[in-house]
Amino acid sequence: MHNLGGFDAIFILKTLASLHGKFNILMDGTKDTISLSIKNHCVIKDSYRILNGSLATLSKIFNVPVQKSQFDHSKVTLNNLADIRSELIEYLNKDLISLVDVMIAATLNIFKIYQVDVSETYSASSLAMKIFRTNF
Amino acid sequence: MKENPALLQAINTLNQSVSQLKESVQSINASVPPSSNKDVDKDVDKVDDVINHQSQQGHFDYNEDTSTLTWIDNNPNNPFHNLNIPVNDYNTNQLGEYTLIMDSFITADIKYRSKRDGIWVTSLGFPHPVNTTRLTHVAWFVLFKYPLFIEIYHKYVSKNFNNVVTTYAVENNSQWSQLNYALNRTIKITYEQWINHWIEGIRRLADMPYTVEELTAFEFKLYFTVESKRRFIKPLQPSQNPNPLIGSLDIETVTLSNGELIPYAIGFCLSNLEHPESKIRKTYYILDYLEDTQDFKIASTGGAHPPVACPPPAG
Repeated sequence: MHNLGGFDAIFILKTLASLHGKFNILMDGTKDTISLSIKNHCVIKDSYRILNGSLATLSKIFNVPVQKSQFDHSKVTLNNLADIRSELIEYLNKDLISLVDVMIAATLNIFKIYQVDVSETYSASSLAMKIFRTNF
Repeated sequence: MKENPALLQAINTLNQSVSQLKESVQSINASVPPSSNKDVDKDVDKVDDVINHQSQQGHFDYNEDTSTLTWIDNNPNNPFHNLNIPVNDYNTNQLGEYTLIMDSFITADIKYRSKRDGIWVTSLGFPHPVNTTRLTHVAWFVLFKYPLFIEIYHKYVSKNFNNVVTTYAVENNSQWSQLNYALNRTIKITYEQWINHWIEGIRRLADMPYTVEELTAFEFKLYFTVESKRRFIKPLQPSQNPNPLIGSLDIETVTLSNGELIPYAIGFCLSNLEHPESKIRKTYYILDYLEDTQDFKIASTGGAHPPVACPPPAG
């Protein structure tokens, strides 16, 4: 999730709790969520901490096939949700594909150069440390 | 607020999809060993520091009849609790409050209070020897001459003099320089050499703002060092393979007039590094889970707030 800690995490905590009961939350000193871990299942991490740039920038940097699209969020109201549905779904799909492709590209590139698995890191700094300890 | 039905369905399906994808990938990659970085990390943890943080805090009571200082530790189970220190020929009337803390290194941090202004001076330089014999002796006696302290001194320090870190709070450069001379030893010396060196350093202190006659109280802190194991940052072994399971998750929100943000669209996309072209992608729209939009208002806010524009989400 891009910007999990800064925005999205708060919305899924309750749902995760209702579905899973216990799950692990890793937070930083400012109580921003770093990751949400469901034991033996999956870990939701903040890709923004690892790749510190907007998704639009990252999708250009990694030159992924589906680029992040634009959507005017200011026009969204409760009353026009039905009207914007198709446009929003298309925008959301592009965001999802773009982000997953960015992470795949980053994972493959970093593994190819440094033999380090991005999925084992939580931030750019921890990734840098892992690269240092593995290669230097 | 009621549970957001679209969000609930999205996360629930995400869980199922992750499980399915993991099973399929595990069956394909059953022969591929997992990444070994975690194993190396465990080795590093095993050699982590083992520092014995003994901390003792309390105060001294002075008995005029017996001319004895008694250490009253905050922890009555501490072996130093009720420790008696005879002060004999020292002018104990000038002794008031003491603080003794034993922690990770030897420090004698002494404060004193003067008759002149009656306030605690947070810095200390030992007075000129002519006027400060008693104070120096008392400090020296309490710090180093009492058998128990000597015992601890030998136990923790004498094995390795390089560990001795003795610092004093002083208030000017002259005192700092003398204290540095007196207390910072980086070469191995004998116990007697270290005592003589310490005394000489104390006696060379100058520019004392108060004489011993002006002192009404002083306190000191003791710290003892236990040598800790060095912790090396071990190299990590390269990963054999990156985790093949990668996904993305996104939430779109709309802002109500009261500022509350409500998710109205959620989606996730799961992929496999080895087959990135095949993706599991699902999106959930709030209207699919409500009979009409009014239900959404009721579900989120009770319908009390009119809809307003939504700012772009962060990230």
